[in-house]
Amino acid sequence: MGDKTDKKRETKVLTKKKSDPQHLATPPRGGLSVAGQSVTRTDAVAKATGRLMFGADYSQEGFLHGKILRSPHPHAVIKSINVDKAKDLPGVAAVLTDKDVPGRNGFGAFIPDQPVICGDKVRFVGDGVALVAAQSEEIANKALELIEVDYAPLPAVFDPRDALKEDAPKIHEKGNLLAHDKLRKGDVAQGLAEADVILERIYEVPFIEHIYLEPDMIMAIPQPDGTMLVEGPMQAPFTVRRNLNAVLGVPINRVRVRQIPVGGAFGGKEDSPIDIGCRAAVLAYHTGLPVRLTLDREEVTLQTAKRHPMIMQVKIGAKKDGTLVAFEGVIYDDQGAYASLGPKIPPAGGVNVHAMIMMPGPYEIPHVKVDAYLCFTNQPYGGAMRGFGAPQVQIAHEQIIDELAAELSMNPIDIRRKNAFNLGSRTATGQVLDQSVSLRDTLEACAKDFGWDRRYRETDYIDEERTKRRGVGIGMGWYRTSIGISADACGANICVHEDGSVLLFSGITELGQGSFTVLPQICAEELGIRVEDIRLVQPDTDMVPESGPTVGSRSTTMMGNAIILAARQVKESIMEMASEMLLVPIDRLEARDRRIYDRDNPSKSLEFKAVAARCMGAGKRLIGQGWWAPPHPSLDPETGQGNPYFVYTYSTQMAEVVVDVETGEVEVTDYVAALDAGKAINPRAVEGQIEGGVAMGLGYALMEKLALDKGQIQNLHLSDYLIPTSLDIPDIKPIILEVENIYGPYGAKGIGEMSNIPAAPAILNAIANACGGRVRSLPADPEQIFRAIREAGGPPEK
Amino acid sequence: MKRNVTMTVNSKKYEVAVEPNQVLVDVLRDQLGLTGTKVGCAGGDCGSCTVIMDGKAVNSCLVLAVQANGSNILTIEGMETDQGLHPIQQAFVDKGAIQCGFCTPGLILSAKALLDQNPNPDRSEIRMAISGNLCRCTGYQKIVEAIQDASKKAPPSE
Amino acid sequence: MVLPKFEYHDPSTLDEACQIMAELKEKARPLAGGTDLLVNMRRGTVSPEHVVSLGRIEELRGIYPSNGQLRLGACLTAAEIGQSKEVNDLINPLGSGANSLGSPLIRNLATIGGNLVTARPAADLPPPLMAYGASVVLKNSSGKRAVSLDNFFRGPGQTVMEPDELLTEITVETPPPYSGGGYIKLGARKTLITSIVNVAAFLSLDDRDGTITSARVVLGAVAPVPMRAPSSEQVLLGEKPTDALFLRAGEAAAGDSKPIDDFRGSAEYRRAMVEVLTRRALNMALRKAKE
Repeated sequence: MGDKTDKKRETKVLTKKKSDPQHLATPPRGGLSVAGQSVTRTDAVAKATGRLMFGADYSQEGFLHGKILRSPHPHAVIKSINVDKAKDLPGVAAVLTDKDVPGRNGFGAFIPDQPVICGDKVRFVGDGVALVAAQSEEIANKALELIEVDYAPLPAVFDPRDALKEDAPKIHEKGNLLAHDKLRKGDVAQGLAEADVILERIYEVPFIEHIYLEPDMIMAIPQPDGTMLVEGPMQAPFTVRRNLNAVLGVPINRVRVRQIPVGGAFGGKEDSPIDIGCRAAVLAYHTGLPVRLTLDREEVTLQTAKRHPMIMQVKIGAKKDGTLVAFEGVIYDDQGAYASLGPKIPPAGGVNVHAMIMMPGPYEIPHVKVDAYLCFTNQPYGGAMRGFGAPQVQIAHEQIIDELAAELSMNPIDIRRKNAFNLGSRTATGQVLDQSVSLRDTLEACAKDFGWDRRYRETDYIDEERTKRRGVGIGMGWYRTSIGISADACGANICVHEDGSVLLFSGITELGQGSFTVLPQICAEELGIRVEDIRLVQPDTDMVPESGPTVGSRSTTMMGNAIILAARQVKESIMEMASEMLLVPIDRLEARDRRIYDRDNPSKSLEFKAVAARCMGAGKRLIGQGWWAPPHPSLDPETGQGNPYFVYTYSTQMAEVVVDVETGEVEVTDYVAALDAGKAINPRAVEGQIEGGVAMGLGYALMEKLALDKGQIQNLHLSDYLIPTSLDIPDIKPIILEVENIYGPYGAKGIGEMSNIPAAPAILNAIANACGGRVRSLPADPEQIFRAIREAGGPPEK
Repeated sequence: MKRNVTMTVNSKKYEVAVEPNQVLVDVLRDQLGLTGTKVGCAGGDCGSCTVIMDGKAVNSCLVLAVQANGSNILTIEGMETDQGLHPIQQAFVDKGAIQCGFCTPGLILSAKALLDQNPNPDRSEIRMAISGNLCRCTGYQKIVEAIQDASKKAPPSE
Repeated sequence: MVLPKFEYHDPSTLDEACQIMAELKEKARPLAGGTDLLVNMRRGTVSPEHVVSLGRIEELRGIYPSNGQLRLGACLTAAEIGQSKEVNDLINPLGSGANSLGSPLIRNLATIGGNLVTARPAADLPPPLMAYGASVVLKNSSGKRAVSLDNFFRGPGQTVMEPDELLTEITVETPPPYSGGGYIKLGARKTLITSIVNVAAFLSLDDRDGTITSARVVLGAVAPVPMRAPSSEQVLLGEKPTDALFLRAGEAAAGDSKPIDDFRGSAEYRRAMVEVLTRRALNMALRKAKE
């Protein structure tokens, strides 16, 4: 009997029709009226008036203040720890060591390998060895000073290549090699043999800090019902919850996490709230009182995740005419002390594997071999930062492509034209790009607006003394929408009320990128109402479906799709009822701007809210749920072959710079960035992301670097870690292209990271073009450029 | 030992008892409840704490509250009026110059200080005036455009 | 933000301030703009028991041009100095230096006195002032003395000031006709930046197209204190200004400099930049001198 029933059930599942992706990309018949508009952001006025409250603005009344005692050593055994004096200080509510962690003493975005409180040893400067909660910050700081820790320093590792040596000190039990990801396409030896010219180069990029303007903070508040509420600025409420429940030793449904307004994140607030959240929660667990844990600017820089530094060895082979035949890459990826988001989350998630996939660039290359070694060191750990491994490798491939062009006496634009992806191209992972391939469109649009041909011809000195030389450069890149893990999916709930107002429940967070505007735009479009009719509920794990983190440029696309599906579910009721009320067949009805009308006779219409009220009165379903998962990602663990991400976006950017060839100073004087958004749901917001992304890339190219000396950060202060000011950035011209993604809401795909990635390459290439010197180890600050010019034998003659 | 400090903030007179080691931004936020002014670095390097004190835009994290005795201070809360948003605020909203919003209050104050002194700045003057305010989200592009826009509509300075 | 605790004094006259300093000596720090003091207090590098604010003392905020001299009150802000007509007319590099200090926000607080007293090797105002032979007036309850800036700095954060002294005034002799100066700051970004190297130069000619009668070259961020470049000045004195001369002067200045390696730059690069910036600052000075 079981067999027969199972067969029936199996058959049912097989014939159930999956969402036809075409419908998601297809706009309403009357065309788009809300999505696609540069609608004013829903939170703009609150931010402009200072009324919007960030975490630090919340009242501190009733809260204890939490502080973390951190290791001053990069690698050491904790021989003993004495907290007695600290505990005795008046006003101290708790001083905790490792034995006080109620559940799992480990947290991490993927692998929970970082101790909430270190017990046996510390692995980087900043590792937490004790926690304090006190009545004021001042008392908490004093208590920290009274904790006595006896360390026995261990030999430490500061370079991933050293970490791989036989005799290297072991940072974790299993050794220092956290992952070795491999990509094998074709036969790279054969490819190199066929090449007319082969270039080998090494490119290096340092630790980079997010420098979101709002320092991290978190609040852990024990609830009357025994559950724990943790709220604060964050990008990944569900990842935080998943760690909290394990650390507290309770089921997932006994923890609640709530995102509050975020003052910038860029990937950094994926990890950091897990860190301070678990610690604050443990303090709150022990004291039974609300705990507020804040980091000052230096603490943020000291202890939170970084962009991975990488040493990238590239060997590229090409024919005389510039056709690429072989690419061989080796990445030494510095993971730092803990795993965070570096290792592979199957099949294609994680920084290391993503960097590997992105490394050969958006070019058709028949033979590719990449080995990416992810290594622990006793340094700050690498997490997510805008681009997730792509910014680093794109600096490598865009520079070597330019170097190859120079070797072959080709115009940099022509070598790219020769090899750029087309529709139907096969990537290095063997994925056939079967839709939404706009790379060449971005290249040509950018070149045209920038005036590439003329400017490339006219590179020259701009002053009589011949100290300042102008040059131009291209950065061309690609980036995924989604994160390449099997669990990648989004869900949304929509509740329509009898007065036409709507609640939208989505787990995607607003970081400044505009999600709290764009997602309601999609909802309003699909329901046929206005953005102001929708209240997007503050993401709260008790209230919104688990939807993954706000990362990987996935939000607009994946949550947008879920919202469309949820809206359609509610719309079924609305349209059925409207059809009954108007006596018009349902397939003739349109919903737009709060009205539902007969397409053939538009004056025959009803107000949306009137129909909603009737539905409520008739017991008709007014709640919709949408769930959207992309086509399953795949990637062979041995060969790196598969379809890791379901759609890519593309961007070409061009920079003009003037280099002072005597000092190495650079001014970026002009900039054009063309980016394909699939469909810009809010064009002004897309422009804002392009402009901000370019600025961040400019910083990466010219001035950003965490200087470490034996694991100690030398430039913790914001006066010493430099990001661009308004005087360092030129006017940026953004160009938005729209090449439809069939798997996206009205054709959209993600853009938040793509905007950032080609900027550093474009500027680095422009610098080389201007002064003849090429900087291969970032940042290209004045000294590095000065040295590069000297290495090149001096600045160009003409 | 606490001191009594009198200051006029957003046209309202306040008298507060402060410790000498309290900085102005903390007193504005914690004692006067004016949390619109933000703390991004507490070291004068980011401008998130910008207020206008006696007509000059300053980092309020570098001013002791006791030094502000007798001064006239404008914070973001004092920008809008009964008639609505100040033209600078409106321009920021309309031009998409706000993303995460953390740097926004400081920038609006720096813009006000600029336009009070120089009602028709060119773009390079605008960039110079806001060069002490860091923004990580916007690339400054739309901020410069918003300030330029507002300069065409701003009322004469008080 | 938690600053260490201290007692606060805010005298309304200079005499009152001197009295307080006489009593408290090294237990007290004077407070002007606070842009260095508060930062250092927060970082824990300094923790005074007493802070003496100079903010109420009006006479410290004046600009007093007088016979053959320009006197600048120590509590003039960098913004006031940078925007001052007198300063820009008479000591143009000081105006440039003031305008490149910090950010527009910092400049509204930071003072010329503070920039000198904090004595950072890379500070913006000492080189232009030293290039014009400036001196400072140090006052205490028993009197006052003038000290040439050439002899004022002793090391990073250290000056010749006694614990009970206040820096009240900066004095610059009016430069002769056919003279001018230049100040150049090299940094890793355009503003809000500590110099990698900075250079100020002053030239005085015996007439518009004549020879150099007086030359000063001052280097910042390449020694424990802002320093004169004597070899460079030697090269210049008595010569007619030419490109070749300035090239040699630049090389000589580089030879005088004593830079170190730090996370902002290497000694080698700094030395090379002293050469370039000296040459350029001399050209600026020459252009001004000929105006």
